[in-house]
Amino acid sequence: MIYTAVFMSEAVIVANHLVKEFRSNRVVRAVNGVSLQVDRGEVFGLIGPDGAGKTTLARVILGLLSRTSGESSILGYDSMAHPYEIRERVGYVAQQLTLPPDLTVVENMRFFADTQGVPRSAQAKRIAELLEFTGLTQFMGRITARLSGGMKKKLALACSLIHEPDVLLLDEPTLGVDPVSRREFWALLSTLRATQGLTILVSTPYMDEAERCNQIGLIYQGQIIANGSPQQIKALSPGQLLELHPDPDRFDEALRLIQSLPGVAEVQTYGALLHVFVDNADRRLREIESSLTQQQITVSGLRPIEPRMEEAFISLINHQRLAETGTTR
Amino acid sequence: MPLIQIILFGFAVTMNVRHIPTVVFDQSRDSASRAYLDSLVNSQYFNITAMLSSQQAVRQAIDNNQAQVGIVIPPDFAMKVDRGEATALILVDGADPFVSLSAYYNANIVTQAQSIQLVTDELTQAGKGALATNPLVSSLHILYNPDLKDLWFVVPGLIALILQVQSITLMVAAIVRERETGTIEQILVTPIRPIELLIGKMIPNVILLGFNLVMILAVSSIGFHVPFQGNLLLFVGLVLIYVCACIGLGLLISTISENQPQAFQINMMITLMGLVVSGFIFPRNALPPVINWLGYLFPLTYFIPILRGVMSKGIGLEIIWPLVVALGFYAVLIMAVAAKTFKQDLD
Amino acid sequence: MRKSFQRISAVVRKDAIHLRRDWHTLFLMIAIPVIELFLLAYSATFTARHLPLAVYDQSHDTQSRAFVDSLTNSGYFDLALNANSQAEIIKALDDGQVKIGVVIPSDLSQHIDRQTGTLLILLDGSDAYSLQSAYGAVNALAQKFSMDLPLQTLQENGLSAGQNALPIDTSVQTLYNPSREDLYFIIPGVAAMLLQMFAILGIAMTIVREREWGVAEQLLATPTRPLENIIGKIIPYFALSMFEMVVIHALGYFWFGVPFKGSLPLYLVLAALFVSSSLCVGLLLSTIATTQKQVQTIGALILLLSFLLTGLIFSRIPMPWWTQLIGTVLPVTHFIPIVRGIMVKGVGLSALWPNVVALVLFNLILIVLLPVLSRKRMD
Repeated sequence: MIYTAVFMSEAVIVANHLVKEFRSNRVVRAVNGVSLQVDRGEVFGLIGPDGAGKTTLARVILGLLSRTSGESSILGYDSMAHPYEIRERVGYVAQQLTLPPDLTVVENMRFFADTQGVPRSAQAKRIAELLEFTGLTQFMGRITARLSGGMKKKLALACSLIHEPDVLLLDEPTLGVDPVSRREFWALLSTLRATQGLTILVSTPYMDEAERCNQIGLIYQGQIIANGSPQQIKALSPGQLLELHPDPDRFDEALRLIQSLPGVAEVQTYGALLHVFVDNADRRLREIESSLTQQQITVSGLRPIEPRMEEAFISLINHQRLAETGTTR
Repeated sequence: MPLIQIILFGFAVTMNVRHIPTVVFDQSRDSASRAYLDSLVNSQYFNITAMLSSQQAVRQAIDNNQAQVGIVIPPDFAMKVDRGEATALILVDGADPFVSLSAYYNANIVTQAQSIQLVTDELTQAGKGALATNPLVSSLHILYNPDLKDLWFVVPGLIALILQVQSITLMVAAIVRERETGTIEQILVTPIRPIELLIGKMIPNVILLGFNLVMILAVSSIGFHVPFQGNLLLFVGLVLIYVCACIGLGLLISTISENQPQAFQINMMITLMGLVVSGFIFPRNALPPVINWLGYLFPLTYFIPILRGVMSKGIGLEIIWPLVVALGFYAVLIMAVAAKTFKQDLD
Repeated sequence: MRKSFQRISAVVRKDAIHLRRDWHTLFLMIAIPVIELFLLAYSATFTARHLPLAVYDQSHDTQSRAFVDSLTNSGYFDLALNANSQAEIIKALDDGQVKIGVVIPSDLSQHIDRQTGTLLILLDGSDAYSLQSAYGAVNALAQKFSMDLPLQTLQENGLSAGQNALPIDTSVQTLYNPSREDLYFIIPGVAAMLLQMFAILGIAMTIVREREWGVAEQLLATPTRPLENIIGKIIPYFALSMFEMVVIHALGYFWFGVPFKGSLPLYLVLAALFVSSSLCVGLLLSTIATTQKQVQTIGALILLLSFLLTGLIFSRIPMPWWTQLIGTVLPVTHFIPIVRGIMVKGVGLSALWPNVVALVLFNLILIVLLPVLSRKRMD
């Protein structure tokens, strides 16, 4: 047990009160005091909305951007002082498609292999393995620009693995990719973690992907507002969750009514549905039902549901906004 | 930016070369040779920078680009002049045609004039002055541009050239860029028709070009005193036709090119070719037929004589109408072709 | 370091692939110089000949005809119109039908005897270019014509001033290019200019394009040192530029017959120096421009400047000091004297060293740019 504990707590990626400011017309703090730690063999998911600072954070930790203050390091190498040591041991998949578009799949892989100093003798084997691993073998000779979005991302992954890195940094790798490819991609990541003990830091806006991580960091406006395992995060939801489908014509009315009821912590809209956070599911369910019926608002599908990442996330963000500005808008 | 170009070129481009650096090996150094050299310097065409001591040195100086003309005056010049058999050797740098041309003619002219003067003086002294006066006076008038200012020649051409380059660049930027980034797909989803899209792209560009043109004209007339003899309204109308033609050409290029770098290359090629075949500098009547014919493919070629005529000569529509018709025809033709290719491209 | 070498050759290979794949651009980049060369070679005339001439001859006697003949025999003028009034001549000039008009007074011979004749010559000033040579020619011919008369008189009166009709004569020798072949002037210059453009734009475009694609970011995340990336890009462009130079010069020599009087090895060394200085300018451009469009715009400006201000066509001698200064900023301004010097004049280093020094200075730009180019981060 002790062994496992020691092994598990080797910190691979570390950030300590990391700050990144951009100075243009005004000063923008894209990363505003972030501290996190990713241990060996972990998959850390960085979840956050657009503009939260995910990409900037990844780039600073990798050493692609200079940091304003704080600490950041990978495998013990400081991001600012030892950028090349980091780059030799880390694989990076950027958010935009940044592979030379007019090279073929295999030409791209060879290029990155050469760049990473993989000896020529080992290249052929490794390239073949990676192509097979990512399912791109039959597309070997195709021009990168002609691959589908999902395949391009897989190619980027393959290129980032060519030098057998210990750490992978992925910036929204599945953005804009179809669900099937997304699942395949994550299957690859799991395999990597299981078979090679890779440490992975991945940022994503997809909640379902967040569930597959060991650890999650919720990032909002440059700060980590929650950090823990998926279970822990979900537990941060304010109470239990009810779902209902009110009369569409009287939706707003229903919303306001429920909000005014006691024991209701939060109401979220979800398409035509309402998600209500209550302190006691059974009790409040009955109360909601009766108060709606009193107003002759029809309702269907009123039932308790398991809180998912999304609800927890929205709730946390709302709280943050409330704390900052006094409104949830 | 076109403003900068106009200013630059307006000042820089001169075809009439004066004050050519000249070195001299004077083996006589008497009053006759000095008088002769003075006459050369006074013509403003020659600028004596050094008196050297051997023909070798003179040749060396020209080799080294220190001077473009070298004069070697034989010994006993004064005596030879009296006997009427003096010859001055003038070495001219043949690697530079403007210089060699200027030097060649002006050396001849100045020497001839100097000779006449000597003869006249001699005759007057001998009391036969009457015989020496020129019975025939030639009076040279240069029309439209009495001082033969190169500017007046260059600036209209430059205006036309800049307008063409700008139109093409703007159109290319508007269309090829959008096609590359995929924005065009986004626009196509709206109910807009291709022709409306084209016009929408053209109008702001036309306005921008018009604005540029006004600035250029202001600079050239106020700064360089290039005249504007012709009818302003006519001018504006002609410019509009020309700009449409250029934009049409730009559109055609946009539809042909697959990506931005390619479009740029084509634009560069057209500009370079236009510089040569359109009559911007080199006279078209001297071009071999094939190249002459090539000139007709460029709107520039039609517009330069129009512009020169209107700006410098002040001529009106009655004289230039064939060119205007040709230009208008060109504009319409190229827009039609471009629009058709554009549409096909979209589909 | 072997790994460094491996990385550089990886970049070289990648950029070579880029060049190969984008063969359209490549084709244009090579085709343009060659086309331009041919165009200019056949079109560039610095001495306008066969300018259309209109004559209103009111005398129609041997003397007036002799004068008109002297004009047409010079090769500079072709008789295009025999007009019947001065107004007709002026209209022809307005129309652009003729470039020069001559009005010969009536009874020329009588006037000559009475010493009251005026020969009127009208020139189209709006076409200053054609007129440069015409002006000189017509001036000289008119002057000579007027002069012949008193000299004839002198001779008739037994007062001839000697063997020569004129006391001072000139023997004008045109050095290096006695036949005054315009080609000798144009081709070396064009070759130089196109070489410069290719080098500057090629390298600037590929660097900026990588940046726009985002590939630059991906590359930064690899162990490739930024300088290795730049070196890897320079190599293919350098090779290609030298190849292009050889092609253009081969054309110049074998096809156009422009001589090569000087030392070939010296020229190759200096040409390499020129290409590297152009590449340095291109690198500078890549640090200033953020988008490909900017590169294009600046490239177009450089092209125009190179064409007009560098001594390629228009002589730099009469230019005002500040335009000369601008010309100095371009490498090609310094290389043109070198090309012409070696090819047409046959001179060596002793005559050319100031230009060589200038080219070397351009290469020093690289040193100044070094910190910018070797940035290992995005900001």
